[in-house]
Amino acid sequence: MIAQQLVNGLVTGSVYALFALGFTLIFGTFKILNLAHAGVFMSGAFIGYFAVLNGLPLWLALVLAMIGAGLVSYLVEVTAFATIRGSGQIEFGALISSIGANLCIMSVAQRLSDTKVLRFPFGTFPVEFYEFGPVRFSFLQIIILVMVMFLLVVMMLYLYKTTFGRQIRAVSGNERVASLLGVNPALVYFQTFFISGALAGVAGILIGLSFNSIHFYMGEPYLLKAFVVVVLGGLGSVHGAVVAGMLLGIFQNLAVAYLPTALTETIIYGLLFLVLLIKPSGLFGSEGVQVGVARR
Amino acid sequence: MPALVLSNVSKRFGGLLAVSDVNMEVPPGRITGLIGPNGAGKTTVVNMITGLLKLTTGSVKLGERDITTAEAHEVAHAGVSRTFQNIRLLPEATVLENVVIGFHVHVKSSLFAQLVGLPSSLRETPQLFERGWKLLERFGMARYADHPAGGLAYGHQRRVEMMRAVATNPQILLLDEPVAGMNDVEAAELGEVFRELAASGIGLLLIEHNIRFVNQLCQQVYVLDSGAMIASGTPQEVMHNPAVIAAYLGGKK
Amino acid sequence: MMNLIYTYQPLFDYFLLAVGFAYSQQMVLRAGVFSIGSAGFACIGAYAVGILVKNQGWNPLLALAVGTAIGCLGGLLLSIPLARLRGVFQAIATLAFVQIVVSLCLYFEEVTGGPQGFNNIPKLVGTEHLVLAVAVTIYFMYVISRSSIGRAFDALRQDETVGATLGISIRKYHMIAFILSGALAGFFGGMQSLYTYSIEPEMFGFAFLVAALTYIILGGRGTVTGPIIGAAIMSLLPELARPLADNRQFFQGVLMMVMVAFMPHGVFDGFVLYMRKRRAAERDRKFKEGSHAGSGTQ
Repeated sequence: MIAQQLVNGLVTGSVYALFALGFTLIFGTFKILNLAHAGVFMSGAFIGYFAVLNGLPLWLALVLAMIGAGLVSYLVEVTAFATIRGSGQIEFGALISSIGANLCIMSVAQRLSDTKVLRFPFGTFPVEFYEFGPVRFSFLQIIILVMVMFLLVVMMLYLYKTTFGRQIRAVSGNERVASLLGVNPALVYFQTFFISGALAGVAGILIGLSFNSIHFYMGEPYLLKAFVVVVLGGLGSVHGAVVAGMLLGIFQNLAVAYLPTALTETIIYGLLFLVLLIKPSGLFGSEGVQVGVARR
Repeated sequence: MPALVLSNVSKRFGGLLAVSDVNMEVPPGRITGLIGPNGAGKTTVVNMITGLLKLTTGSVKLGERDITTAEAHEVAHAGVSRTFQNIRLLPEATVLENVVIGFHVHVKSSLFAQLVGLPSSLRETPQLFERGWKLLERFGMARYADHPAGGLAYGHQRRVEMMRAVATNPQILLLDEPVAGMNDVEAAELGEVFRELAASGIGLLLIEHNIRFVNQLCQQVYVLDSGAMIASGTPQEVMHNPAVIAAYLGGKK
Repeated sequence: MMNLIYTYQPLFDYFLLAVGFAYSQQMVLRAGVFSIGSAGFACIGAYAVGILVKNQGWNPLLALAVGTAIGCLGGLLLSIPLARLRGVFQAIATLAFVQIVVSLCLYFEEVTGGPQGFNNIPKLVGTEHLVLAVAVTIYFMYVISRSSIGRAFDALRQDETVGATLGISIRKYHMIAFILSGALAGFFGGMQSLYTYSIEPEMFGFAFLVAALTYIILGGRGTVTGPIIGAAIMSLLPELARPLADNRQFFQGVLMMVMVAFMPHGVFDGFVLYMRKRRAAERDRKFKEGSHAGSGTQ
């Protein structure tokens, strides 16, 4: 029983990790909390749904969801963030602007879905199960785990082994200097937001398939959980997002088996609060967290 | 009026000893200078006095009162005020509002009175603005009272910061490079203001690069280099000190 | 005529409640605290008042007093851990606080009614009460704004370090901001409870939080008038044109992005700052003309 919950937790956790990864990438690079990430996640599910509805094979729908969500994410950057770069209020202003962008995305989706919950047509994904000892995996769960692992490895290679990745890390350090050294910031913005969006889009369509329900509000609970993941793992840390995401997924699944959901939620957010008090930089974060005016 | 006394003050940042074993006195009614090449640790010393940095060793006393570990606002209430090297005015406020905030340490009405709107609080605000206005007139800035502070010329911004520090009616005033970027005429004007303030009993600590300016105004000068005090005395004594000359080679103005 | 008033009365009532919550949000933002936790205090206040009046038969004024007091206490308690945080970390912490409050309300079903909500609260609050409440609130906001508390808030918001070196205790004034914010949210949460027959935890979740923030983004956080303008824009805009109403969320989103990009101080604050700059330029011009036309002063 526990083993099964552990497995379920791992699957939930890996989706949390995928969502949080894009979120933390933008924060780590640009110091922006992009709340529109929820909308981007949801748009992946929507794009995948409409693709399947129009007769496209699932694998193609997945690719389109990735690309589409990536583009939506870049659109958010162009409309919500590019306009306020260079002004002093970047922290506060970007947050508000991203909330605005999120509202726009949600309202478009609400229109498209007529405020109804959308479901994939029957037979979109084969419902098969595999037994490994005491644990039962569904085919979808296996695919999710494999996909997430694959994407994570690709991400790591990209960020640490390629020139593009190095450029992202350079801009995150100091944009002006980076551009003086020949890095094209516009390209970096595009890549970072696109990748962040693509990851969220994949997470979106996978969740849409898992619960077979897609609605314009589906991003919000994941966004709230993402705060927990990203703070616990350390804002800006890619490893942190992965580890914390997994841990949260496992914890949540175990807790929900024994406790009412509302209590589990209380504990999770209580944990977030405590982490912020004790070690705001999280498990892996190196962010120097400002403490206000005090003798240092 | 008490003197500000630093004893064996030092500051270590991890492996770096930024300030080591500084002994200094800022007596009331006089202008004391603190000079030294860039990066010598002058602003670090000021930050330690004003509650922004923890002292690694040593103590800071204002007369009988030990303010070594006092928080920034407590230091202000004790009677120590400062100006900043890079002018820090409140950007959204007017010049008058910037000066009036300097009166905060002298606010008489209670929190309760302010929350509820008792006459003691309602009376106080126009009184403070009246005092602020007088200060502006004294510094020749009355014309700029309702100007947004951020839009002023550099010299005027320095004056606003001066007025704000004076508004706190301090016992000790720490001036961190107050005439940087000014021409000789402007600097001389401000120098006169400093003399007036000292004459009224305030102890001034003048941190400056402009050696000529320091020598004209200060009775006592301390020289800091790489965190250590390398000389102290009258301006004449200090200027002829070989260690001081060596420290300043290439940086003299 | 009566029909017109009849139709728009609920809108006006919600506008009045919005003003109350806007002031609650403003208190913290004005002091430079990035807290978005008013929703949590509103929730606690709403449930406290609703339960006391409906289940315990309390006098509504007494219940409101209790709701406000709980809001004060909550604000005070929350300010302590939040004193060590700044910026986005403060925001996330208060977001966590809101989620905790909402989750607890969902959990303690026997007391709060859980997800089904707390229903059949006697409707004891009408337009006239709301108008009175908001009028009194505006009085307090004005008085506080003009006092040293208001000036201390403004200083801390613009430059915390400078404020501290001028004798403003950051901890003390942030705590005051939290207490005021909690009191306002607790009170108006209670008023909402006695106005709307029924309340549920989701009413005080993320959407509430965003709404309160929007009023301040739109109106401005530095003046007493700003939050009123912000709440008015949000309440009135959908009424001006059908397409705006149908796509309310979309236009709210666009409004937020546009405001942040072009009027980051909000409509009213932006207006005040603009007028200041203009008058300053006017005075500069007159001064220059005066000294040229005069007897040749330099």
